[in-house]
Amino acid sequence: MTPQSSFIVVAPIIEDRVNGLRALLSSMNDRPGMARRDNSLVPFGEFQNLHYARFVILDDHTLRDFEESGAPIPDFSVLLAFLGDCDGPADELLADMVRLAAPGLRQIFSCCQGFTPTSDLLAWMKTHSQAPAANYVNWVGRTVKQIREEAALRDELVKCVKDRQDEFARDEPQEVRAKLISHCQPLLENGNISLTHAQRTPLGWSVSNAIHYAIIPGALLLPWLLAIPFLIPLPPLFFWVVIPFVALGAIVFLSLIRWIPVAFAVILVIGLWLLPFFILLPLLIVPLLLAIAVFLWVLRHYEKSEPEIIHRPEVDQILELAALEDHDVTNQYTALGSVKPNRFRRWLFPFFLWIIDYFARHVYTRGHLGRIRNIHFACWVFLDGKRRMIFTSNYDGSHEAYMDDFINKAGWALNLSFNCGLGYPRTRWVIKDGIDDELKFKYTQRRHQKPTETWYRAYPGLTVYDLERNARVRAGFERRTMNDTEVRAWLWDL
Amino acid sequence: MQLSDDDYRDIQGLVRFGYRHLGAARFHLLTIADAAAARAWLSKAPVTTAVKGHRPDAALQVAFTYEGLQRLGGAASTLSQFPYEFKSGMTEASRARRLGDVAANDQHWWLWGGPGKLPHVLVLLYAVTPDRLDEWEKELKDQLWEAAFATLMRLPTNDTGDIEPFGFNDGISQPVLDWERTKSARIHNTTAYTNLSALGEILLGYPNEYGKFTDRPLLDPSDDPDRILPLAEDAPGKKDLGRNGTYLVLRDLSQEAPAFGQFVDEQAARDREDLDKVAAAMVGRVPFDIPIVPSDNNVVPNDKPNRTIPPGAPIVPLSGEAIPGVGPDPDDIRRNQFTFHTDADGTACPYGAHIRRANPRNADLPEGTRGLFARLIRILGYGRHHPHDDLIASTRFHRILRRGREYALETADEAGDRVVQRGLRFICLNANISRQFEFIQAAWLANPKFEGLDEGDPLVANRLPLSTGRPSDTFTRPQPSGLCRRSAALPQFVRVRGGAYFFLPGLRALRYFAGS
Repeated sequence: MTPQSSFIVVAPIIEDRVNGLRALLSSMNDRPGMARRDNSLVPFGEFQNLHYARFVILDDHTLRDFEESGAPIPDFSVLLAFLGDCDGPADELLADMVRLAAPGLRQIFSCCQGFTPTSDLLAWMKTHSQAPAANYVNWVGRTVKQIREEAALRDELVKCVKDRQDEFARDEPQEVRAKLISHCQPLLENGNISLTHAQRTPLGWSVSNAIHYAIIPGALLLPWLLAIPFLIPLPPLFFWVVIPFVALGAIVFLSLIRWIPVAFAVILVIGLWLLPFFILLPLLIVPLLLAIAVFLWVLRHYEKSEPEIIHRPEVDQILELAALEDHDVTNQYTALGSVKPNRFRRWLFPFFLWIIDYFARHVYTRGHLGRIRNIHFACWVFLDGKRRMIFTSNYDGSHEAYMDDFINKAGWALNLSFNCGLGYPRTRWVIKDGIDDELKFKYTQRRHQKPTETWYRAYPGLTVYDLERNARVRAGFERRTMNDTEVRAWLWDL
Repeated sequence: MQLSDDDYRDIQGLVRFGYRHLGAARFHLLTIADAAAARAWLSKAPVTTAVKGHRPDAALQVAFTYEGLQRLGGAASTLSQFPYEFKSGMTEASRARRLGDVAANDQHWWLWGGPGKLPHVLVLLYAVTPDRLDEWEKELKDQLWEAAFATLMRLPTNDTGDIEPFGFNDGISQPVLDWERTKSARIHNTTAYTNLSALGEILLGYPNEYGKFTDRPLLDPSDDPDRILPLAEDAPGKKDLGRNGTYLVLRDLSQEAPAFGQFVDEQAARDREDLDKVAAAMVGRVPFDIPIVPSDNNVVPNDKPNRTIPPGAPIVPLSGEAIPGVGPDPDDIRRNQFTFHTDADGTACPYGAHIRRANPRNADLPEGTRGLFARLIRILGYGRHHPHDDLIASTRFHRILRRGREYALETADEAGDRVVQRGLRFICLNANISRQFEFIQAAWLANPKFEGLDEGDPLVANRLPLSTGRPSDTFTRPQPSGLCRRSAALPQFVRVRGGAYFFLPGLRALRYFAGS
């Protein structure tokens, strides 16, 4: 498996170069906001492991909101952000870019502060790189190459079904499948279509991913570890409490993994094991409850007292953004906002995003984020010392439908990830309310959205669902045998 | 809080009734020539209300475009509070692209609604008979009207017994409005389809399906010195210009009935299938009749007497359980007590069938999610039973009230032969144009990726290929045996010939504008 990574290069733009840069970036497009794959500045199509990329100018027109919340208006500079998602390490992709597109990149970055004609391009990009606060990949390990190969395979199968519709109508499903496979076999052999096997997962990535995953289970086991001094000698009830809970945990685990990923079930079961801990050592629960109570009290204080700053976006802004949308089945989204100007929120925001990132990295790695099934990649990045943030995503369907999905399918998660943002509708207990106020949310997200100057997508015309279905088709194609029900389901995908 | 008589007297009757008993209708698209005269005419216009009791033999409804309200003299600070989709209009370039109003549907070809042909006022006239309609029109078109308005376009309609030109019953599935306001304002994650819609989904000034009030112009009392407007329920001290009003979307659609009949005929011959079955698969309901080549102006296609399934019935089995807002009328139950939950593979009713796209009849969570644990698992995004679970947005946020009328106009072609031009004056009412009408049109009907397909709606899509050049003019029918039967090269059957967004105000708001 080849894991995906994202690159984020952010640099302040020289003040009087913003408009020139805007014009330069739009010269890369063949439709509004849509980059030509072979544009002369950065020929994105040349990079075989690049999924998505964008250049966006981050010029915040909502900074007056600070005044309304009683804070001084900060002086943020206008930034250029170059973001994208690729297969394998981002550093390798950036090096490839320098190799194949240095003049274009130099021309673009020459509008940025501190970039000179003699600057080492790769080093400059690396020093201006940011790590995402949270990153979501729809299907960890699905490469551009795999996407293209699987799409070609399905196209070939669909074509064959169409050409031989009358013949297949008389055949049994198993026969049809056999004929389809034998139709494609010679094409595979002569290389007209190819199905490359996944590469080995890089060991370093597996290890660091496992260590990262261990943070939450480890934190949940920490009380047991810290309590070892209290557990010697064992409290009288130890075995009577612990053994039933271990057994219960095993049962819960076995029933949970039928529904949810093992990574998630492990966390829940280890969480469950905290119960016997507090039964055995009830006094230790007091500081914990106290800490939770204080946290909740402070949280509610802020939630109630912070002003709710919602403004409707101007018509011109909406029109400017809409002009870039719906040229293909997939769209881009970039939003820029500030963190609410107080220390509590500045501390809380990274914490919430860490949780989002953790679950995106270890739990939601297979085709859906909560119930949302149309996001290819999404990324949260802090800027200016965690005082502001950008959120970018690549999604299928119209903007309105995307926002409705947020509200109706994953409202709690959106509240979790953005409740610390200035201008977000008022939340209650972090995940309640907030986005439930449909129009307030829609206004605020649109108002904070920035036009993506140029945007590249490696597989136009393909939605997340298409990618998932094509992978199903390929898996079915490669299987030696299938029962009748499976064959029917496989044929429906063609 | 229930609606008062004052509210029913304030609501234009079209919202509540649809005037099915008034078979004759004609719509006037007007521009305002003299704003003062227009205000004078409007202030005395006998606009029909939603009060029950007597059945009028004629009805008048009035609606305005944003430009119309500007022409009438509405204050800029008031009008700017309208939503941007109403302000920027149906023909705004990005919107047109999203709605599919490009190529053959481009506003360039429109008879009205495009640049320079934008109406200000829409006057909808209804009457029991065509004669009464003429009389009614004469009564209303007095000297003041003549001074006030210039006619941009007259849109005649014909009473075809609610059979649209392709041979199907039109408008037989409508949301039922919660007039009693019994629906809870705070419901989340429903697991069953309901046909009962919160009042605020259609009428402004009431809570919608989110339990919130859709934004509309709210005025300071000082802006309403004559105290015409009602108070806003959600904003104490504010006057509600939107209350009891709604947005009316009018789209003038011409339907190529001969092309549709011919296509169905060819497909039926190719697949050795019944004509009705092919047409029914495209729509999702049993047709009334498929006229191969409609020949007569006023023809109401004959029902076939020996049918086993009545026309209008869905091609998926009816549900055993009652659906809120369906029935008690047995005809309604026969036509609407169904969802697509039992047809997850689309083998009974294809995913792409028109009624499945226009109203997927789902709930917030997949139907049949029972128990707290199962709900929790679903909310987290797990526990899917079918690859298509969670693909389609929840229906209850995307409903419209349809009030369209058919037309059949006899004209002559270049050779002087008689041609019958058929179509639909599509009208729908909704409180949030972008979340309701535009969503249904863009995300469901025109979207080639609906339910994982690669094709537009079989009836109304514009057949343009995707940006990659991949065609979208196919129609896919999953077969029980596994394979999909795919028709290719569907012609464009429906063309947009005009359209605009209107505000259908409450009568008090109308008087307010007439007095401004």
